[in-house]
Amino acid sequence: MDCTRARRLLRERDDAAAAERDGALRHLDECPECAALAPALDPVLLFRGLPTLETPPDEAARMREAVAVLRRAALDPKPARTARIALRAAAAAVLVAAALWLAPGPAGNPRRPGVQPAQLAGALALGEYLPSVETLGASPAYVATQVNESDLTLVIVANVDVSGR
Amino acid sequence: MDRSALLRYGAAFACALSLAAVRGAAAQSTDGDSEPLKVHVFTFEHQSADDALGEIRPLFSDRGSVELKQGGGTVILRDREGELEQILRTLRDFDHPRRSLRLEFRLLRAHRSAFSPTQVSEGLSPALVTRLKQVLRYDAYESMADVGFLSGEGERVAYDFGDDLGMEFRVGTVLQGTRVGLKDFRILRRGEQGGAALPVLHANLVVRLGHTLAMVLTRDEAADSALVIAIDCHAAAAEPRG
Repeated sequence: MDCTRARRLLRERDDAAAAERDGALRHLDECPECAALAPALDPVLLFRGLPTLETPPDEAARMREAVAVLRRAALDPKPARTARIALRAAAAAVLVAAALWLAPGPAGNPRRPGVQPAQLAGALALGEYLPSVETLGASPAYVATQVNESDLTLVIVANVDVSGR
Repeated sequence: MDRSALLRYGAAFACALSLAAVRGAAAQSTDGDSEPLKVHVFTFEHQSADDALGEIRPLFSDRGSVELKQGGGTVILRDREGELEQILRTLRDFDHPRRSLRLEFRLLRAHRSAFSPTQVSEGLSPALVTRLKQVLRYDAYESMADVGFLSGEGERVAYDFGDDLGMEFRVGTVLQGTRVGLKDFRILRRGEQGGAALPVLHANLVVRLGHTLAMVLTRDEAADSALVIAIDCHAAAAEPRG
């Protein structure tokens, strides 16, 4: 699979092309350039190297609810006292769950050598993620990739005819 | 009064207290919906009301609304008191006196050279090129234009990079002291023999102050060449031109 096809499949996450997406993921193992771009195409690929995690459905539901509480609280400028307590409890639950999940050893997951999620996540911290280019009008151009780093935001805008120069 | 009667009265009293507590809580929970809306009229002194709308829209509750008065300098806000306080804080911060900004644009041609070693033309920032090479597949970078100038919030800017390429945009408002929008940003290519300019790109940009935004314009991500526009924006002490 060529780089353009693989990147498009990874970026669009089209359910209809799920089978081809496996091919695109295999392409990442062979192409260092695409592997470096992968987290920007699909942030979930940050965790590609981690072992598969089997989460019980009720545990997953509790974590989803905790995240929903955090989101609602972030939208409310003056949360009520009960909401603040729920927020703290949810935050604590998420932190404990994350600590247990990331901890190596019997209670956590075995970690593959060379995989360091915290380091990989640094360039794409959520607070820093702000779309920097929004294409307008009838222009066929689209933002293919945005990479945020501490002092540089790099945006690849594709479908632009630059051949005139 | 015997012991069993005391227990019965105690239980009844506890039930009554519980019912009162439940009713109180129910009343409190409906207060949020029945709380009367307040109206506030805000007149902008320095900045554009249009630009402010995008900033305050997410702050309104389901019952809130905003109305832009004819003429564009005044908005009528309706919402609960708590939401209105937050919206007004945001608007007061937004409507600051117009600030001067120093804008710098670097235009680069990036391409892939199949056989020759890495080429970087003189005058390019080594730090920028190093960063670009970490992410992009191009190994040759050629400087096409490098320009810096003072502008200010709300100003319209037009600049020609050379004979056939130019850009236009309007400087937006500095938000939270950290970022500024370049609205209606257009890269234009002039037609041959003075024909109409053709838009190469039309977009709204957000540039963080003191932080480089590098836009890589390309046919597709596998193309062998691209146009790179690196933009830096800093707060400036001097007054804007004009």
